[in-house]
Parts: sequence; structure tokens; C-alpha cells
Amino acid sequence: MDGGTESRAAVNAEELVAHIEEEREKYLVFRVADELYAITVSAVEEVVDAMPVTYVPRSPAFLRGIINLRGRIIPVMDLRARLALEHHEQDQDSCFMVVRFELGDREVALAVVLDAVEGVLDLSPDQIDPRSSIGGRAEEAIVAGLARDGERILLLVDPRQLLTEELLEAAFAAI
Amino acid sequence: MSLSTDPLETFREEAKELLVTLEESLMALEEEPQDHQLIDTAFRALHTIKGSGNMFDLDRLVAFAHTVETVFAALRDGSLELDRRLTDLSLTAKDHLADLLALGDGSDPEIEQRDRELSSRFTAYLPEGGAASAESGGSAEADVGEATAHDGPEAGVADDELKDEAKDSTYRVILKPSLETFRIGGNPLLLISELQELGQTLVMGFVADVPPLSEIDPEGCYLHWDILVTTAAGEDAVRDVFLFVDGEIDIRVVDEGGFFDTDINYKRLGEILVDRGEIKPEDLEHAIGSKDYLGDVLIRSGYVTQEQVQSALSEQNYVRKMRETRRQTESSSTIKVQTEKLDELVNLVGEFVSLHANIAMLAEQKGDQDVRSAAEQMEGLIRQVRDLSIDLHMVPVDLLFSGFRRLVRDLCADLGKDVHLELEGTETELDKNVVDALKDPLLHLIRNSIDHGIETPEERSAAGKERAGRLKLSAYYAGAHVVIEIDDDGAGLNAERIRAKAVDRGLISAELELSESEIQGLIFEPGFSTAENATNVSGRGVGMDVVKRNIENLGGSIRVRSQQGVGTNMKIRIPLTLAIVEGLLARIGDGMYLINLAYIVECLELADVVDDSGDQIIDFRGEIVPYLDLRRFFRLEASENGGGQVVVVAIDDRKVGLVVDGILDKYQSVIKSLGKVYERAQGVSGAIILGDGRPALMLDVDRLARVTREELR
Repeated sequence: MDGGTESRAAVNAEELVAHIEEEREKYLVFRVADELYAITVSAVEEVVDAMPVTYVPRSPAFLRGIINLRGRIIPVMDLRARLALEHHEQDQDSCFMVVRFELGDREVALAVVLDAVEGVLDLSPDQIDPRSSIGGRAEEAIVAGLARDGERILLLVDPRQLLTEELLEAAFAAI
Repeated sequence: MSLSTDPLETFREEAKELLVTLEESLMALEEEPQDHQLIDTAFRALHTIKGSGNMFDLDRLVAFAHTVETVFAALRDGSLELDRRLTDLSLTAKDHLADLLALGDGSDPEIEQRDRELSSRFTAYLPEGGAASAESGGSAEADVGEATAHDGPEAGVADDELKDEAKDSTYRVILKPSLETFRIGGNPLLLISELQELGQTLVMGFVADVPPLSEIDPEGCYLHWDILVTTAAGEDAVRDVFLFVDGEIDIRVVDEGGFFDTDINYKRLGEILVDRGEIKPEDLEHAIGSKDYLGDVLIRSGYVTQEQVQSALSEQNYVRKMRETRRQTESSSTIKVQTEKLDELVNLVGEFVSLHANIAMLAEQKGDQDVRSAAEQMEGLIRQVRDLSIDLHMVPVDLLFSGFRRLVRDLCADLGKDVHLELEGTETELDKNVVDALKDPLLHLIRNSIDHGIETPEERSAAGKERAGRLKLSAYYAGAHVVIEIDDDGAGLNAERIRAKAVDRGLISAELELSESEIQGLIFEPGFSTAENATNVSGRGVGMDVVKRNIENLGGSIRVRSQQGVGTNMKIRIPLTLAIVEGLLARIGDGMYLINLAYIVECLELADVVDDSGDQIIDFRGEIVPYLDLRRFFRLEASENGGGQVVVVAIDDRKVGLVVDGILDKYQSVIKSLGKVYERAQGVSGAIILGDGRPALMLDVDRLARVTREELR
């Protein structure tokens, strides 16, 4: 009987570990200006090299235009403009992160211009602080929490807040 | 992609299509109750639903379909006649079948109650025996038992069902009545017309045996016939026709229907004649040696007569044609492709076009002659693939139009009106996506026309019109567009009332001078139609402004013309396909923009035609045309030698000029959506991909033309 209990305990421990493993999620870490951001990889389709963008006239500054990604037309968002940061010329580290998220009633793909990609990282729930109070900056809108990775503080991006119907409506109306 | 592979789901889809077929044939039968082919179509639809339903144990559906089918079998064999009441009942049955289909093996007391009612109403149409068979719920044993027991009407049904499985075969009948035929009361022509009832026939008469006039027996029968008949009824049915013929009769199969006749070509002339026993194989050998046309040689050598060769050639031709149509009907009825796959194909072809443009450009740059000529050859192929893939996406507007028959009928019943629906140009083809998107706007316009346009029979009589109103739907090609017109001979629009209402609603000021057609156009303004005049039929909170917007979203336009007391005409122009557009590539600032060729009238140097007055107008062949500087509109920075060209475009005969910095080339491309993020962007309506892989924008000419006119005011 004793042996049985022990082995059950062992199984439970394994399940627990598996459970924790499951809770751990992979995040893509990228840099814009001096901040590090992390976004769940489940929202990321791919990261591609920066390419020429076709400007779409009469649209808000945070939308840079469209690209042809293997035959798909995908809008490009300038994250610096969205976060009211100063403009930064594209360099060899610049890249486009293609994310998918719900915009109103439809799922859309959006290419987000990044200064550089830092890598992919596992984060468990205990590393995440679901709060974004970092001082009333424009980025607050897209940040859903903070995560600690050793010395680094990462801003967790909520993909659904990258663009919203309200934001688009107001921005286009202002043109 | 969610491609359903669930067989039950597939059955449901097919059954739905069959129900549409059933409904269409019922509607058509209303016009022509005697049309056997239509009854047959309805019967087959019911029969197939029953048969497939059986495989999924949908007992209630199967039993009900069987009951209705039994009545249609009686209609088919003529023991019952179709009247208005039965058509009504059958249409209700069609709706009920749709309900049963949706219900599956679930239960719903209301539907079950209706099931019993309808079943008994159908059974009432049948003689005793038929009723018994229907109530037995379509069990095969019962059918057979009854049929053998007293050979009642079910025998005919069972027989017909067997015929359904049979394929069309072609038989050759040689009919040589004896000389005495007419004297003993025979009439070969009656036999031939009886044979013609079995299916398609080709009758060849032989007069070679008719003697000179001096020797002729006026009551003798000297003629004989070769008849080809194509029928699914089977050889016995053909034989039965000639059961009592006095004379020579020979029936043989010349072409059996089946899946395996991959070869359209039928036997050669020589083979046919040998098979018929009209020449010997060695004679044929002999004749083939000659260089002349085989038929001539055989006639000259006296092996066969002119008539025999004619007959053999006709047989060859006939069978070839039958095979061809059979192949066509087989292929068109068996291949079913999901629209998503077609969309995907059109997209891929678009990629292909762009990739090719890229290769051609590279070959040009590198100056490699071989690659260049390979790219040129590729272009031809790609064009064919592109045309084909677009063609696959086209469907006849009939798909859309014939669905409205039922609507018109039901509306008339509800509103106490009598309207005759005419369809014209139903074979006109349109992109499937356009057809789908047009359904709601047309539905609304038709409802409007019947509800508000066409008067009641009494009002019409009083106004000296025919009691039945006329509603005509027509479609025709006009360049890269298809025009759809909805035309009624109803009361027409009352300009004064519209004007008063528009003023009342604050759409226009009371002083504004408007032409008659401008006033009529007000019905499309947002806020014009409101709940006040909404009836059960055309209400539902959708106004004409929504109709207009839906059509404009498809790149189309709508215009109304009406004469009070005479009628109303709605004219919808819609692009042939949403997928591929031919346009002119223009430069504005640093960007490339495509202008749909369908709108372009002419391209000119702005300096040559600009009016010096400072107003934004040009003199286009004596016509004052407003223009819009697109660089200014798009807020692009000025570039050197900019604004030089003006593209004159016309929408509904109204012209405006669009000023661009340069015109580059004609360009054909797949149009891609800009997506939700850019749906509010003004002046552009889509994107294309250029030869170098970069996207360019497609100008929203309709919108820009409107802006131009508004700016002028």
C-alpha cells in the first residue's frame, strides 16, 4: 500500500511539472527605441526582413502603407509612430513582425516595423505582472503587463491593442 | 480552409440544390403545366432526394419524398393532371422537404404535424393502390408486392425508377414496311412519331425503291426508313413500338451509353457500311485503295447507293453529336468545385502573372535573348490559364434571376397583386462573387417594385392598364461591365412627393432647383426611406441607400429612371469580374496607381486643355469638364514635371478629369483587397502587384469623380 501511495505521488509531481510546462508560454522579444517588448508567439506569423513599403495616401502616420508578402497584401504599422516615439530610419536590424489578431469582426494580419528582434523566450505565469503602470505613456495602451527576465524588464504587448476599430476610426476621421 | 468531407453534409448540400431545381421546375410548370420535361425534372429531383436520403436513414424525409414522388409519377404517366392547386401544394412540399432536411433525425412536433397533413393531401391525389403504396413509406418489398399482385399504377412507377438508372443508348431501326402496309391499315408515320416520343431521333427516308410513275401502285408502300433513336427506355421499349408491323424490321444498338466512351469519334464510313451488311469487307478493301473520296468510289462501283452512303454518314454525325452532348452533360453535372478553391486558383494565377512580369523584366535587363524568348512563350500560356481561371469563376445570372420567380409569386399572393415576371439575357455570365453579392440588392429592388411600384389589378384596370403588371429582369454585356435592369410598368415615382419628402427630411433645401432625374436620384440618399412607409414586405429597415452602397462596393453603380404612371427602370452596372482588371498605370508623386480602363475616355496633356480662368475645369472637345489634381487630393509632395497629364473618365456619361504626373502603361492585374485596416482610406479601392513585386494602388474612380463634382460646387 505504501509503495502505491508513493508512486501516485510521483505521478502527481510529474503532472504538476507538465502543468507548469504547459503554462509556460513562448514569447518573441523585440526592441523598439530603448525598450524591450515581448509578444506571445501564438500571435506571430513570422518575422521577415524589412522590404519596400507602398505608401497609402490619406492615412494616419502610424500606418506606413502596404507590402506584398508572397502575394498577400499586408498593411504595415510603424510602431514608433504608434507609440509617439521619434522616427528612426530603417537599418540592417530593422525587420517586420507579422502578427494576427482580431480587429472588430475580422482577423487581420499586420506587419509591425521593429528596430530589432532579440530572440524567443519562455515565460511562466509567475514571471508576469499583469499590470502596465509605467507612467501614462502612449505605449500603455498596447502593454498588457510586465515580465521580469533576470535583470531585464519586458513590456508584454497585447496584440489586440496594436490597432483597434476606435483608433482607426478616429485617426482616419482626423485626416 | 474548411472543406467539409462529412458525407451527410455533402448530401444536405446536394439535396438543397435539388430542392432549388424542384422549385424552379414547379415555377416553370405554372407557366406550362403540360411540359413533360419539367415534370420529369421535378420527379427526378424528388427521386434522387429519396434515394440518397435512404442511405442516411432519414426515414421521414424519404417517406415524404416518396409520397410526393408517387404523385409526380402519376403526373408523368398522364394519369393525373397538374393544376394550380397541386402546384401550390407541391411548392409547400418543397419547403417542407427543406425543413425535414434541416431537422435530420431530430424531432419537432410542428413539422411532424405538417408532415401528416401534407402527406394525406398528396395521397388524396392518388387512386387507391397508389395511396396504399405511399403509406407503406416507400418500402421496396411493398412496392414490388403490389405491382405483381394487381399490376396497378405502381407498376409504372417501379418501371420508371428502373429507367432512371439506365443510360441513353442509340439504336438503329431499319423499317421496311411491306408493299401491302397501307392496304391493311398500317401507317408507318404513326410508328415513327411513336418512336420520337422515346427520345431524340434522326429519320432518314429511302425513296430509291419507288418505281417509275407508269408502274406505280398508288396504294403501295415503296418507302423504307433508317431511324436512329437515342433513349434511356431500353431496347424492349423500342421493339414494342414495332410489335405489329407487317414487313421487315431490324433493330440494333449502335451506341451504348456509358462512362467508357472516351472517344468522341465514331466508326468510319466504311465500317458502318460493313456493319450494316451493305458492303462486303473485301469490297471495302478494294475501294479504300482508290485516292478518291470513299463514298464516291463505293457508289461509282455500284456497291452501295447514294442513299445508303447518306444514311451511314448521318449515323456517323448523329452518334458523334450524341456522344459530345453526353460528354458535356456528364462533365458539367459531375464536377463540383468549392468556390474557395476557385478563388485560390484565381489568386495563384495572379501571382503567376506578377512573377512572369518579374522574369520578363530581369531577362530584359540582363539582355539574355534565350530567357527572353522563353518568357515570351510563357506569357502566352499564362494568358490562357488566366482566362480559363476567370472563366471558371463565371456563372450565368440565371442562377440569380430564376430564384426570384418564387419571390415574385409569393409577394403577389401576399399583396393581392398580379405580376408577370419576364427574364431576359439569363445566359449572361458574371463572376460568382458578384452574383452572390447582388442577391440582396436585387431582392430589395424587386420587393420595392411589387410593393410600391406595381398597382393592384383594380387600380390598373381603372388606369387603363392590363390587370397583370409586368416586371422584367434583364441582363446584358456592356464593355467590361454587365448591365442588369429591373423594369416595371407600375405607377412610377412621384417627383413632387419625393421632393417634398427630401425637404421634409432635411436632405435638400426647399429652394434648390433640381432636374427630374436628380429628384428621382434622391431616393438613394441615406435617410430618405424610413420606417414610415415600411410595410411587411419592403420594410425591414433597409433603405435604397443601402442598396446603392452595396452595389458601389462591388465597383458598380445604380441609376433610376421613372415616368409617373408608366413605370420605373432601375439600371445597375457592375464589373464583369472583381478579380482581374485591365487598367492604365499612372504615376502620382512617387507612387504607381492603376486606373480601371473601363472608365477611361481619353488621356490628354493638361496644358492643352486647361481653362485659364483658375477654376478646376478643362475644355474637353467643347465640353466643360471639372478636374481633380490627384497629387493635391492625396496630399503628396510636389515633384518635378508633375501634374502634366489629365485622364478623362466617365461614369454614367458624366465626365471628370483626373490629373496625374505621368502615364506609363497598360496593365492587367488581379485586384486584391486593401483589407480592414485601410477600409477607410479615400480615393483608393484595392491593390495590385507590379512586375517587380511591389504593390501599387488601384484608384477608386467612382469616389474620385464624386469628389471632383462636389469640389466644383
